[in-house]
Amino acid sequence: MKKIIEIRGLTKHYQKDKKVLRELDFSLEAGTVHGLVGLNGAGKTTFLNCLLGLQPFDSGDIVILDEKPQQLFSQAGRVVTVFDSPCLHLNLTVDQTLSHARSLCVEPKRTEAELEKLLGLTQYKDYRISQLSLGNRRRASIAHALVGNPELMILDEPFNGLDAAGVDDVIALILSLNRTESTTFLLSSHQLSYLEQACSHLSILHGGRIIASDEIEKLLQNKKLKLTIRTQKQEEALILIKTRSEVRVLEARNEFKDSIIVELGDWEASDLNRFLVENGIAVDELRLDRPSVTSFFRDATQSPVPNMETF
Amino acid sequence: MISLFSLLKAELFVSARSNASRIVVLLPAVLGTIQLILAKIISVGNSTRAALISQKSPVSDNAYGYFVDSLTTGLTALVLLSIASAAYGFSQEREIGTLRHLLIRSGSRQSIVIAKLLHLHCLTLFSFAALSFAAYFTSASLWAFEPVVEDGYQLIGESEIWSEIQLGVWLAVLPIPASICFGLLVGIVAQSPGQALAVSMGLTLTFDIFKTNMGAGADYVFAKFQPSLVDYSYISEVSRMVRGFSDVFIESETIALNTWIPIPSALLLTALIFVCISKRPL
Repeated sequence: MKKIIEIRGLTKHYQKDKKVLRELDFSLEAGTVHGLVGLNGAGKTTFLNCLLGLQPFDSGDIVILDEKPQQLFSQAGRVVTVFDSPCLHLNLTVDQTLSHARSLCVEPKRTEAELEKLLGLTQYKDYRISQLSLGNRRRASIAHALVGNPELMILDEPFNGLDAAGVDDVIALILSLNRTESTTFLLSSHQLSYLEQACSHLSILHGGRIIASDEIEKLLQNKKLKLTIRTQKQEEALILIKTRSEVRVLEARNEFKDSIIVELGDWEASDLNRFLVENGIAVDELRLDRPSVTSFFRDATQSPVPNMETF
Repeated sequence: MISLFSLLKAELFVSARSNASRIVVLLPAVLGTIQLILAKIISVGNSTRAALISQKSPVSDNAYGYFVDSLTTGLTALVLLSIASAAYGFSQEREIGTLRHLLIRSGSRQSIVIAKLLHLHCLTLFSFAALSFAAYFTSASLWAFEPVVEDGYQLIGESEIWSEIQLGVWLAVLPIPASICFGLLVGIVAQSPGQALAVSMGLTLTFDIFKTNMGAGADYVFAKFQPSLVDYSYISEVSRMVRGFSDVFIESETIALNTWIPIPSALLLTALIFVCISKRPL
C-alpha cells in the first residue's frame, strides 16, 4: 500500500542533551485511520509540528505526500490539520470562518451550509468563534478542515471538549470519510477508547521513539487474557496458582479485598476457577480483562525504553 | 499553492471584520478632526479676546497651518498604531495558531509575510486617505485656505504652500514602511502578543526620547524622520512655515537623509524578517 508519510531517523532536541525525538521512524499507509498515542510529554505535539513543517528538526528525513514538510503548502490543501486548540480567528462568525477557509482553498468542495450541516453547526452559523463552547469550536475546526477534499487529515486531540454524542458524530464522520473518500487520518489523542473505535492502526510514541506500530488487531493478538481473582484466602490461592504452568501470576495485591492478577496461557478462566474450587478455595470474583488498546498502551509504556541516556 | 493575491484577499477579509483594523484606519482621522475642532474653539476664543482689547491676532488664522497640524497629529498616531498592530497582530496570530493553517495549506513562510506586509501597508494607506480627507474637509469648513498675507503683502503663495505640504507629507510618510517592518519583525521574534506590543512601543518611545542625545547617529535611523510625540520631522516645520514664520530653516542634508534612509531601512528589516521567519517555530 502507498506510504503517505515516511519518516526516517527524526531527531529533535529543545535543550542540549534533552532529546524529545530520538531517531524516530514512522510510516503511514494511505487509506488508514492511524492513531498516535503517548504519555504526557512523550513528544506527540513536537512530532506533529516537525511533520507539518511548523518546527525545525535536528536530523532525519520526512516525506509527506512526496513533499518535504517545508513545501507542504504546495500540495494546496491535500493535507489539513485540526489542532488541539481551534486555531481560528475568534472575531469571525462560523459562516465567515468557513468563507475565509473557502477563499484560501484552491478547489473548495463543500459550501458553508453543507459544512455547517455536516458538523451540526447550522444553528451557530452567526455566532462568533469566541462565543462558541469548546466542543463547538472543535466542530468548527473540523468543518474548516473539510472545505476542500483533503487526502490526509491530521487531528490533534480531536475528541477534547466534545460531549458523548459529539464524539460519536466525529468518529462516524472519520469512518465515513475514510470509507467513501479514502481520506487517510492520523489521530493523536489521549482518549484511547475512542481511538480504539475509530482507528485501524496504532503507533505508540514513548521515550522519543515509536515503540509499537501496526494494525490494532495485530498488536493485540499476541496479548494474553488477564484474569483478576478475588478470594478470602489469597496466600493459599497464590501458592496453588504458582504450581500451574498454564497460568502466570502478574500481581498480587491487598488494597481492596485480596486479589490476584494472572495471565492466562493454555487455560480458560473456567479451568482456573474449577482448579481453585476443587482445592477448597472459594472464589468471590473472577473478572476477565480482554486485551484492549488501553491495556496494551499501559503495558507498553510501563517498560523503560532501552538506550535512554537522557530524557 | 495559492497566489499571493489570494493570501492578501484572505488577510483583508479578516481585517474588514476586525475592530483593531477599524481603529488603525479611523483613529488617526478622528484624532486629527478632534484637534481641529479644539483648535477652532481656542482660535475663536483668542480672536474674541483680541477684538475686545483691540489687538490684532498674533497668528494668521489660515486653514493651512491647522491642516498641517492635524496631519502631523494623525500621522503620529498612524505610525504608532501601524507599529503596534504589526507587532501585536502577527504575534497574536502565531499564538492562536491561524498562521499554521496558512502555512500548511496556502503559502510559504515568505509569501505569508509578504501578504502580511502588503495588508499592513493597505491599512496604512486607507488610514492616511481617511486622515487626509478628514483633515482637509474639516479645516476647509472651519477656516479658509488662502495665501499667507501680512500687512497687505503676500508672504507665501498657495502653490508654494501646497508644494511645501506635499514635501512635508512625503518625507513624513517615507519612514512608515520601515516602521511597519520593524513592528512585524518584533512580532515575529517576540514570545507573546503582550511582549511584542511592549517591546515595539517601548523601543519606539525610547528612541523618540533619546534621539536628540544621539547626535548625528540618529540621522541614520529611519525613526528620526517619522512624526512622533517628540517631533523633529520635516512636517512639524512645515506647520510653522505655512503660518508665515520666517525663522524656519531646514538643512538640505536633513532632507536628503530623510529621503534616502527609510527605504533601505525597510529593505534591510524585510531581509531580517525573512531570516527570522524561516527559523521561527509557528
